Order: sequence, then C-alpha cells, then structure tokens
Amino acid sequence: MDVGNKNNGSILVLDDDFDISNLLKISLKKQGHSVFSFTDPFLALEHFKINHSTYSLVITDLRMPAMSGFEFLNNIKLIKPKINVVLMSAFDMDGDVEFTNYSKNYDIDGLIQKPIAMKNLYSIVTSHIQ
Amino acid sequence: MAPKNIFQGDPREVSEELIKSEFGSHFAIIYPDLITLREMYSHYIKSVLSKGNEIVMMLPFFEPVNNVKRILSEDSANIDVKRYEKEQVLLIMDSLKAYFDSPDGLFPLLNQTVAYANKVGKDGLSALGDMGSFFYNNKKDRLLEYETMLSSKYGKMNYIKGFCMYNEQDYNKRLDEEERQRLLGHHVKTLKLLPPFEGT
Repeated sequence: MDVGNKNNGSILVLDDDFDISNLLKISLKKQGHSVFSFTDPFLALEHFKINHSTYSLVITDLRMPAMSGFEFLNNIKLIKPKINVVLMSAFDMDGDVEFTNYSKNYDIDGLIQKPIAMKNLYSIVTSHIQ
Repeated sequence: MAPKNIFQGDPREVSEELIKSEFGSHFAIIYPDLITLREMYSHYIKSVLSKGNEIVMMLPFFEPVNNVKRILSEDSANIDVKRYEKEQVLLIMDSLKAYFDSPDGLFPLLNQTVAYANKVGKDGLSALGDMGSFFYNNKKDRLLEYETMLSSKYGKMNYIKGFCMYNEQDYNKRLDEEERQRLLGHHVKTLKLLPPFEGT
C-alpha cells in the first residue's frame, strides 16, 4: 500500500483503459496521494468492499463494458454512502442533454472531462477529497 | 434457438468475412478489446470505401466519434475521412445517439441512408453498431427485442449489411446463457474476434 503524505484517505481510480488509470495513479501519487487504480470494475468493487474505510475519494470512467460508471457509483455509495464519487469521460457531458437528464438519477459529486490538464485534475481532487 | 454459424479469427480474418458477406446479412461480432476492434474496423472500412459501392455507417460506443476518425485517418488505414464524410459515404455517429435519439431506434436513420444510397447509385449500406449503448441505458430487453426484429427484417432488406458489435465483457457478464443463445440465434453468423497473436 502506498501511503501518501497529503491526507489520510486513499483515492480509488477506475478506468478500463490501463494507460489512463495508470497515468492518473502516477500523477496523483506524485502529489502525495495514496492511490489504487483498476481497469476491472468488479475487482475494484471487491477491493472497495474490504477497504472502504481507508478511502476518501473514488474517480471512475463512465463508459465501461460490464459495468458502467453510473452502476459502479451506485454500488460504491451502497457500501459507503457519504464518499465522494467523481465521474470522468471522454464524451461530451456538459452539452449532452441525455447525459444531463440521465445523471439526475445518480448521486454524482463531480465530473472530469477527458482529456484533462493535470493542474485541473489536482484542483478537482483537492476540492472533492474528504 | 441455437447459434447457426460461428467463426473465430484475427482482425483481418474477421474483416475478410464481413467483406465476403452479402446484403441482407445480420452478423454478431464479439470483440475482446478496443485495440483489436479498431484493427478490424479499420481494415473493413478501408476495403469497403476503396471499392466505392457501399455507404458505411459506424456507430461506436466505448470510444468517441473523433477517436474513430483519428484511428481511420492514421497510417495503417490512412483513410481520407473528411473526403468520405463530405461525400456522405462514411457516417460515424455515437451509438447512444443513433439507437436512442429516435423512438423508432436506428430505423429512421437506416431508411434515410438507404434512400440516399439508392439515389447516388450505391448498392447499399454496411452498418457496424456497438450494442454497448443498450446495456449502458439499462435496455437489455429492448436489445433482445431489437435483435429479434432485425433478424426478420434484414432478410427482406437486401441493401443492408448489419454488424452488431458486442464487447466480450458485456456479452459474458450482462447476459445469461439463455439470453446469449437467443441473441446468437438471431444472427446468421457470429464472428469471434481474437487478438492478432491468438488468431487462427
């Protein structure tokens, strides 16, 4: 386990694209965060079930096979209702009416539009980590 | 309904199977990952567009439209995407919008594109759609209904080749055995796409 200096809580990153999940892990670790990254939502969920008390923030991709980011978010919040979950996507979320309507059904704490500049990522993480 | 015809192959072999297919075909393609899928669709789309007698409709779900355009434009495929889009023989659209923006699903767009194909003297249309959007939208029942409808319609639509693309993880984890068999039974052929090094 990588223990960061910035705070006590870890960050869980989930993206089915290994390059992205790994990039986020490396970048956030450099900022002093403790980060665990996954490409498989089922493994990520199993890990979270066991270790949820150590987590302060979850960042998940939206469009993934087998379990969407919305479904993953719901499962995470069932385990730990008060944790912040940030959704990220390469698809346009701001101007997408369907996404806006659909997302009203979910308890989303933040959005990350990919690609994202690292300083913006750090800012979003800082404002959402508990 | 038992699956009728299953073919396994690497991206090039699966692409060749699609190229050989006739209008009215309705195939399922099960792909392991985006990298393998990209290689297959790049090869297929390049081949079809260079022959010049079909319109291609590509409906991705797990990657944005601009990403598909970039993949098709890259060195290995080197397709002049802008030119083909301008000529309206290549249509790339988000699967979520294509299947769900209209209450009638994809059919209005298919009909409109076929009408255009007839008007400009093309033989017909190849439609490659990622069915991941149905699972994302919690519309599994609608997917099974849609596939059933297509299997009866496509036989009569001798100007469309319909290729339904399923991510292997969606296929294995979102469908039970009965649903998988039912779904495959509604396709003339199932093409299982293997990464290049595992190809037959």
